[in-house]
Amino acid sequence: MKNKKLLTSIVKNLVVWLTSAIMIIPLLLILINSLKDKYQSASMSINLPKVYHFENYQTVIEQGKLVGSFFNSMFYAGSSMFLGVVLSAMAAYVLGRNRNRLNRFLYFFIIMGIAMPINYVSLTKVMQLTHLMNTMAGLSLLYTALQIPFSVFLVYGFISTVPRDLDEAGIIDGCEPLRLFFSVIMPLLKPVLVTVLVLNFMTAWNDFTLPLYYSNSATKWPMTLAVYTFFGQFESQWNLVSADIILTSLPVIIIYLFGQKYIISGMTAGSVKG
Amino acid sequence: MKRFLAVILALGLLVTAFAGCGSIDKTADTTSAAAVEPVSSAAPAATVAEPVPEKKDVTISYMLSQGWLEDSEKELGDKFAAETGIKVDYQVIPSAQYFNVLLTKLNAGECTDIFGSQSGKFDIVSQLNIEKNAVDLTGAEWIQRMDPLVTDQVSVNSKVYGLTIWDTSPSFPVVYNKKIFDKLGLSIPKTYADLKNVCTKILESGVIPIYEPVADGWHHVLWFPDIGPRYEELEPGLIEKLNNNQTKFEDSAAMELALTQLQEMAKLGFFGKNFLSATGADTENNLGTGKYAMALSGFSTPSRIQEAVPEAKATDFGFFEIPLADNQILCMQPSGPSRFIYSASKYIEEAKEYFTYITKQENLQEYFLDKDTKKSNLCFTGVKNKLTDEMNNYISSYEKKGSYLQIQVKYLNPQWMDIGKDMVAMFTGAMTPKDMLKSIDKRRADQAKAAKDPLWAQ
Amino acid sequence: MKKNIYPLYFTFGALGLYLMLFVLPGVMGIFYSFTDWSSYSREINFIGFENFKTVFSPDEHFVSYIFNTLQFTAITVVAKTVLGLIFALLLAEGIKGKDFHRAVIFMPAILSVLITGLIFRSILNPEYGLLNEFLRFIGLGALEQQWLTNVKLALYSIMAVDTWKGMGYIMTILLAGLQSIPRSYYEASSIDGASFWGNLRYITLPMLMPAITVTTVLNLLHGLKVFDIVYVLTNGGPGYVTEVLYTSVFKEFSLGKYGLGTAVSSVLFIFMVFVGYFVIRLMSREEVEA
Repeated sequence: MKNKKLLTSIVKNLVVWLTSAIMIIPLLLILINSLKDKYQSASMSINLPKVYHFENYQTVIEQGKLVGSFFNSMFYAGSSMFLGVVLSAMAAYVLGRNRNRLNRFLYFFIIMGIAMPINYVSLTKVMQLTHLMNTMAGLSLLYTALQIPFSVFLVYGFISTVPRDLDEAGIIDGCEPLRLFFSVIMPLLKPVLVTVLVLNFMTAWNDFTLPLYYSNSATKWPMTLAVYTFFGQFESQWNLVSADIILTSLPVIIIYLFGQKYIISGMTAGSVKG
Repeated sequence: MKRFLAVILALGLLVTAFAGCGSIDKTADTTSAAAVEPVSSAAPAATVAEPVPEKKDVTISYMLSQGWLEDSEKELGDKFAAETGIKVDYQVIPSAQYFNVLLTKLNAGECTDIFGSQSGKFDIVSQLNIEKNAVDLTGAEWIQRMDPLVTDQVSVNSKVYGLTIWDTSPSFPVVYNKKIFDKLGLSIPKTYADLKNVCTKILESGVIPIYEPVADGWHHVLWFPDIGPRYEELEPGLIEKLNNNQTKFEDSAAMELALTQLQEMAKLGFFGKNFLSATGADTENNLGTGKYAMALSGFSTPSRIQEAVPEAKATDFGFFEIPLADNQILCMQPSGPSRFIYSASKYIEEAKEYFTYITKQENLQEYFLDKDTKKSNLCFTGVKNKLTDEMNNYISSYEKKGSYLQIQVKYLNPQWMDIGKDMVAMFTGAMTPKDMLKSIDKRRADQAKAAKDPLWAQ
Repeated sequence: MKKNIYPLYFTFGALGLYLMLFVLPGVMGIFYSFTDWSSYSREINFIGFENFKTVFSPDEHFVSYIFNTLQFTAITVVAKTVLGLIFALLLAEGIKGKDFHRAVIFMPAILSVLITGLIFRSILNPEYGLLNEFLRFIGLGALEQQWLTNVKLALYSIMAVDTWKGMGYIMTILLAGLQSIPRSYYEASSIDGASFWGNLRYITLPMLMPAITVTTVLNLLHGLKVFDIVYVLTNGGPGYVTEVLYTSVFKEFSLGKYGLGTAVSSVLFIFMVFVGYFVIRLMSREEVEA
């Protein structure tokens, strides 16, 4: 009996470690190759570099114009993340609390967007009509809009775990709905809001197609698109491409590690009970 | 935080506009937009403290596909900016996406000030609607120095719309390793039977005969249209009939023959086992190390091989024309990536200034020829070319000259990448050469229909 | 009273943006799918169901793209759910370093698809790629494959990469579901002497159903909408064997055939809304019952 338990435990650990290895090796491969020279990185093997070329990173930052695109990415991901969270939380709060016929319809209408495809060509027309074409604000609003359905879905599920008594107590105290929401309700939604923030940040950070179509100026391009074009120009220099990949992925990894402990609790109430 | 507020403000305005509660307040709109865009765009207005009065502070945008921009042109762009104050914002877009992005932008009326596209007198009309979308450049000084054949490919109704600065040497000869050929006692193949024999011998010696980077999606297509003049030679009148919709690709025995031979080469392992995942970036390396003996590649390949593999010598490599369907006609290319000025641009004069500047004799020579390792010659008079004896020998060893198929036949070039996919399907056996030709016909008919071409109307 | 606490204007921001930048282009797209809109001609003519006829006509390949899309969807849904469930159970408790493993297994989900594609195009390269190198190294050189260019394998390789990337996300949702099952259920059953499999069948799986429904919907929609992973890994090739609906939409657009492109995307849209509505109704009913 004891042996069997030990054996199960060994097998379990083995499986888990193996899987973790499969998950992390591709990233390690990139990290290792980012430190090699051009010739050694050509075969993209997992052998350690003969000489460590940390200057690859400096080359990439200069050649790939990464400083500017980093701030662009920060702006797109940051602004759409905050705006998306605030708007989605407000909408989900009202739709989740006051479930009349209209609101139920609106909720379904919004989360239908999770399934909706983007039509790039007709979207261009809309972007022009609204004068958002080729503006940074336009892209930021676009990312916000694209994230709304799933964010509303997550927050809506979570709202039911927040006691209703607070809303009514707040109103009796004479709070305005807006103040009530921002000072009382929002803090209670923290786990799900962090989840939404992290997911939205990732989506916006990782995208490269929207700026390709809706921004006419390379100075407004985000980092992920910069990697794409960088790969086009330096295809035979995997060490530089790898360094660029590492630098571009770093911010999302950091954000994820910060938000990680909230993600499971956010998901628990957010999606599981949705 | 300020940006964040600005976004909220912009959003508020949009929501009001959407709800139909009033029109967008113009002043508020501009202030919010200015606050949101911290980096650029303030440029045209805010040029107060500029020392030299005639210097402008303008940024013109130039969108082009990867592979069309060399570092030397960027360097020249910096010089141009320093002299005139006009900065050029180069936007290099990966080739797989490029055409789609360009069409979407032109269609939406939102293109960059300068845009790049392949020249071709049919395609610039049917695809780009060039008369509407580009600025008429007729009368510019540099046009007199541009090769008339090249100018013809960027002209419509005798008006010139584009600037082509490209290597007009023969398009893509087969580059071969002379040492390997000598060792095995082989000579340049002049017929398909020769080629097959050469490849078999090389393969038997343990070297892979031909490096063919199929993964790039476009390169392997070259085999087919580069011998365009041969099809016309075998079937006189073919090209005209194709353009008048009187015959089809499907019905050309010469084309089917060439494709069947190409398919056989793949089947016999002449391209190696892993050619479907090979990329062009490794061409020089694979030729230089002697792993492969030949590749369809540009004139500058030998010197770049020497650069990539120091122990290989440029002089060890020679050229010959693709002998599929026993082709012996030298293929010239009067077209190439070209620059056009967008008709709705706000900076047309500045863009023209850029064209004038880069086409100055000394700039062409230094930045487009001497500093650009990929080019050996330019389509401009008055420049000193870098053709080696090897190249000159090759050019003079073919009596007949012609230009490739996609320049002569309508509705072919736009489907280049699709032909590439068909060809891969042909290599894997999913399609026959005949299927592939049918598929080309079908796409031509679709395009002609969309373009409302009267010849395809019935 | 209620109106004051939950004013409708709270929803205006989200609704406005969503309508304008999401719904409006979608609706316009449906309109365009009945036209011959293309990059070749200035005028746009109404041509009825012509584009839709083309989509379903046998001499086009769309039917096989639809089949590929469905196959991709079905297999990745099953693979991600099963693997996600296994690792959620393994990492729920009683294993050392579970936080580390959870973080690592989730990690691929946060990478950009573009980057994933670049990395795996290198790893799966037949000549110098890490996977074949590894197989040769451990003496299994015979298993070496042309992962992305073999006609029979390419689509499965894409599915495997997609599962690699998405499994951790699914695992995290299921892990969340597991944690919401009250411990007392298991305590009660262990007194009754239930086995692991008994617990799984009678407690865990039924209690996890809402979470599994959510992950299934997400995977389903992801699968039907799949584009970028295919695009960056094979771009539909070799030939057309890995072409899915969305890559074909993209192709039509790049040929300048906007009308036909939007028609394909509208077919997909209607299908997804149908599936989405159906499954969401299912989910909300379960909520009422729970």
